[in-house]
Amino acid sequence: MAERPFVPSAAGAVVSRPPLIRGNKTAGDVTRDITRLLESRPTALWWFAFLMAFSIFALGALAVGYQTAVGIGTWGLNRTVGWAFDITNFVFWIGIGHAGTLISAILFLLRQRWRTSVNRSAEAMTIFAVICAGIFPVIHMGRPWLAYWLFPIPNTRGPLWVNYKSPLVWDAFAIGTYFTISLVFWYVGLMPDLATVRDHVRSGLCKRLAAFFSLGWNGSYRTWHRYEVVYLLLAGLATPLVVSVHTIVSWDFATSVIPGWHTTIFPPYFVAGAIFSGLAMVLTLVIIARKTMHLEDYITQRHIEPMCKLVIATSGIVAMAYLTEFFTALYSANPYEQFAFLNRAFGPMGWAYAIMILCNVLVPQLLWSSKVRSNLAVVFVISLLINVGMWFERFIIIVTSLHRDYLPSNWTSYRPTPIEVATLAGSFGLFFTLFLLFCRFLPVIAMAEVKGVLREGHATPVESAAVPVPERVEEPALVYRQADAGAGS
Amino acid sequence: MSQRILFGVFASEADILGVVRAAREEDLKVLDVYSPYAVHGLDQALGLKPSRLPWVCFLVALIGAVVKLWFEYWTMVVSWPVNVGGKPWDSLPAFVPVTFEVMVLSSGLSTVFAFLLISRLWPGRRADVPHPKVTDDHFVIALEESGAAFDPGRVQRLFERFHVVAVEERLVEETRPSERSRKMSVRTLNIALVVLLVGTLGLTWWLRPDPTQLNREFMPEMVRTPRYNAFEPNPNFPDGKTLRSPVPGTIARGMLPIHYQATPEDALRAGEELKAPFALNDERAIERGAVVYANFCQACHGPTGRGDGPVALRGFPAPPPLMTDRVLKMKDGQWFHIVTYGQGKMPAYAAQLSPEDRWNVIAYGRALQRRSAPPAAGGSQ
Amino acid sequence: MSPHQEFELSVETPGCLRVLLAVGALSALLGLVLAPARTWPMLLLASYALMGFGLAGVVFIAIQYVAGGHWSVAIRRIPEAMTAALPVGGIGLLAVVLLRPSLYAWSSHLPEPAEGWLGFKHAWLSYPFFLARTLVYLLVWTAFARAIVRASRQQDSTGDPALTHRNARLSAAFLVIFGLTFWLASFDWVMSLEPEWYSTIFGIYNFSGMFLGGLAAMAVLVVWLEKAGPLAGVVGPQHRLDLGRLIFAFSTFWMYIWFSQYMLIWYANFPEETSYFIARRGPYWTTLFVLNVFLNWVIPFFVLTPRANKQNPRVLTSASAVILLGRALDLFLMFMPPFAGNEFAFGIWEAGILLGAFALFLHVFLRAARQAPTVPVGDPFLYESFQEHG
Repeated sequence: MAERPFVPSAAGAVVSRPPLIRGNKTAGDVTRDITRLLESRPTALWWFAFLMAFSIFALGALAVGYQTAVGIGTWGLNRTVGWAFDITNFVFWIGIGHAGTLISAILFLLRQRWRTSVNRSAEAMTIFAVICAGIFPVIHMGRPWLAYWLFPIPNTRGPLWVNYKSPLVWDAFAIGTYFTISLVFWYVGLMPDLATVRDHVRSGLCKRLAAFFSLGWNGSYRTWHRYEVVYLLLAGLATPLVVSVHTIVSWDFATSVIPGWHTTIFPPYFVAGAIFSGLAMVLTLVIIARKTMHLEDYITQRHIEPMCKLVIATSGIVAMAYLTEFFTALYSANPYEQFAFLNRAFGPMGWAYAIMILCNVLVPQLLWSSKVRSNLAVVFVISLLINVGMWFERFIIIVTSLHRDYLPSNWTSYRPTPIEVATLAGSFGLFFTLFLLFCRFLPVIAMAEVKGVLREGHATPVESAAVPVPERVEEPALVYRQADAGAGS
Repeated sequence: MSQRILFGVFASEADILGVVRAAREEDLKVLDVYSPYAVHGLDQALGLKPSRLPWVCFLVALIGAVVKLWFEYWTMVVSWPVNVGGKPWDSLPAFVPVTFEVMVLSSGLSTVFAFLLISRLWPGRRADVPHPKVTDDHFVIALEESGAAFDPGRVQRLFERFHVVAVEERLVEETRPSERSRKMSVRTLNIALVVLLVGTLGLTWWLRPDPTQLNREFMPEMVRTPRYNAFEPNPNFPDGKTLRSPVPGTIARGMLPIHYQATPEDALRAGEELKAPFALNDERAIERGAVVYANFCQACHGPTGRGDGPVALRGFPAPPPLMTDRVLKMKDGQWFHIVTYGQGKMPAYAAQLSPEDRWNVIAYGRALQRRSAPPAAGGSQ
Repeated sequence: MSPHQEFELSVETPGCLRVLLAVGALSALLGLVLAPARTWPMLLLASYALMGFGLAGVVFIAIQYVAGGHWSVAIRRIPEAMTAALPVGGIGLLAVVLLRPSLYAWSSHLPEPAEGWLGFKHAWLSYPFFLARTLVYLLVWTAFARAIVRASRQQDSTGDPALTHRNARLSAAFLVIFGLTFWLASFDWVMSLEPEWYSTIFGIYNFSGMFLGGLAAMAVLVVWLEKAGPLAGVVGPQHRLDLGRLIFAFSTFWMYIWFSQYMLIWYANFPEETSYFIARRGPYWTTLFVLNVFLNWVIPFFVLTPRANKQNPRVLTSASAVILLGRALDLFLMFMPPFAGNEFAFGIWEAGILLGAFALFLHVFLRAARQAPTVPVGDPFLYESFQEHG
């Protein structure tokens, strides 16, 4: 408090905001609401969605099996367009993952308390998206069983080490680290909740697994104290990590000499685009989860609103990058550079460019209106469109830059084969299969974190504990008992 | 040794904060607090020292980064330098990304492991929960029932001031692992080792590898490609051979055919037509020519070209000296013909000397001519 | 302003400031006569730096309004007063561009206009158009800065929460316009000093340096005013911690952008791009080139990593001072090599002008700070900002 006596002026009353969590929940309510989801039998809707997702995943798995057995010739790639659907999907999925880390780490560092309701599912999304992403470069190798060659292990070839000057090796390290740290971060966040599941779910597989994986967590404050430090440190590490991952993905392209790929703005542009697409995916998933699992009290307008605003901000950065790239191509007076961008916008794949501009630049502007932001159906549609747009962005960057390069005699086009389409669909199937399993077997809301922000927006101040405020005592389920004779009372 | 611990259960965050502060003010020994979430301000109330985990994080990050940077340098510069795209061996900017990733990976994992180790958390550990609601919505304070300050009545009043929900006392044995549990763990380990041994032996017996057979191959990587050996019959070609014969008129690399006969007329013709591929006063050609001359010519022609080599001195018909007018006027091409096909008693050197060396030795011969009669010489063109 | 006398700025303009101002003016005048080839670009640099501090102030306020960051309300008057440097720097910039167009090589010997799109550069870099753009950027930014500051000061007497909402809306509009114009402005004023060279990240690079410099200046000023009186008891360790974290984050952001630009140009090795770094790796420049990274990132990063250091006023100001030096060096490396070639071009003129610009910034800041209470007493979130450091 101010050392000098200072009374805020009459007008300076504290402006109140709507609560983060609705329905005047107590900590006990949170435990009951979330653990109940794990005890109940899956609904028909869940089964329908799961079987749907799983069968699409199975289709994708068949496609991957076929192309592994037969070879990459089953794809539509050719000598000019050497990267297309595979790398597009890879960049798309990696990008999706980034919003999870944004919400769990960056917003944690920025002390944005609204993140607590969505961070668990956003982090789960990150992990599943990275799994989907990792599949594509590996199957693109053609001989995926040699993927371990990416690691610098002593070998009988010299030892011939991996080429640390290659962005593709950087990529392997970046994705590996990202996956590991995201998983650890997620697990550390889960530990207290697993203890709650262990103690408050009646029986079943969930309870037994939680008992094993909660590592004997008992809520000791000494552990909590260190836990907070570890969580902060992990957030501090994950923040530069998430930036580095998409930066390195962008370097896969930008270190080359291909017009449209080699441009210095790529690192921040890719990172912003990744967070943009990832936030859209978080919105998609959160709106579905809110509806199907009846989490209306936990995922409120106070959560949707800031995500929509972040979508506008990242959309603006992405739009600025499109503009900068195009302008600089014209400004460069370099005919190759200019051709690459004019060909993107007005060439044979101009339709894809139009979709990209529409979905990534124009549609998100609707979110400026608070009416649109509060209409979840519209937000849902916008988030889907953004995902389409961001997929096309990567497709445009990769395919239109390649299909007409320096030599017109090399010019060709690209058309995906059914195998490639099935693989893309399969990755979505895998993603949703994993997400639906997560919803069934793990607490979808970070209970321990939500319990800490329940009072956010409610009037009772937490800090004035010097004079204890009479609190509503829980139902008298607990008996005042004395253990053994002697002291105690 | 055993310890008596008093657990007080409270229902709200404000109560637990208050009771902890009050208990510490009254010099009671607060062993720990149990809470369903991290209560803001409880660490100050408990007087916990700042954790040293940031140091683990920082130091491991530093070590990880330095070691990885060194490893990248060592593999790319020392162990096996590979030229990729003309980049220098020591490409520091290109080593930065992987260094950064490894730094984050090592420091993140070590911090978490250090945390688990310090907090004694491991998979499958039985949770020692003081009250089942501590992972739900209640808070528990653990007081040690010892010391001068501990007075049951006062503690009771203190607890009631903060709306205590339940009180429980426990007798806790010293947390040293008992003899029995140590025996248990040794037995578990022994059983595991025996199972492992039996399993390995059983599997070996069951599979019974045949040492005379090749191992089973997984993805043989085109090691055994189907192909015809060079001299095998081959049904795919009309002549039935695998080895293809060259197209008529094919010339081997580095071979320039000379279309001359070994006759004096052709020697004259060669003198008109053939020209040395380089200037014959070229230093390096003369130097090489000297070596060739010493090895092949000196035996008859003598060290200075006067036809007084050891062979001639022992009675073999001596070759004419190189300084005679006839030889001086002879064209370079004619010399080349003579070295290639021989002349009179001189044998052909085509088999021993490459065309280039033949020209080199001619260059040396011209140099000998110049050396013996500097002013008058003018024979070479 | 009588009801809030305790928040009136009682800090006198230090006397040494006047001396520094005089030194700056003198070295600029003498330099223009004796060494115009070095002085003109230096004046451009100083004006750009001054404008950058002002602009960083506006961007900071706008971000805080849009993001609803209430922690910074108590120190908002500092960036508000900093915005006064924006028009001053802008006038300097305009004067240099008007009086010395030959600083820009393209203004005198233009390449032949080419056909079609290849002629775009020719059309874009035409002197009248360039002047018009300069004017538009500066006017629009200044107008927004004025409007936001005015509404904030109005709130001191009315305490109307609607003004906060209005400023939030204005800030969002400003940020959009800033995003659309700032990179173009940095292309125009700085990148076109070397008209053959281009780098798409250049605008973001300029932003990162500008914002980092602005934050460092803000930290120094906040700590100074806390010590000198007007902010004592208002600003606490939590404010310093937050400022320190922002400086830490943006220092790392600057490093990230710097490395991205350098690494990509180094890796692709295009002659038309590497020219930029080759000019900055000459015999005298290499030391400065490496020092730049140390001043802007290495030193602040390691100094500000521990939490206690961010809260310690002395350590925070030292780290900020290092960053301010780094900001000057960064700009020096951006502006000077095309003019200096392989000669070492830092001497009495350069030092004098930099000192003068520094003094001018402080002078303008203090004058603006005196016009309003040092704390936005009417802001509805002021109490929250105080509570933050409880």
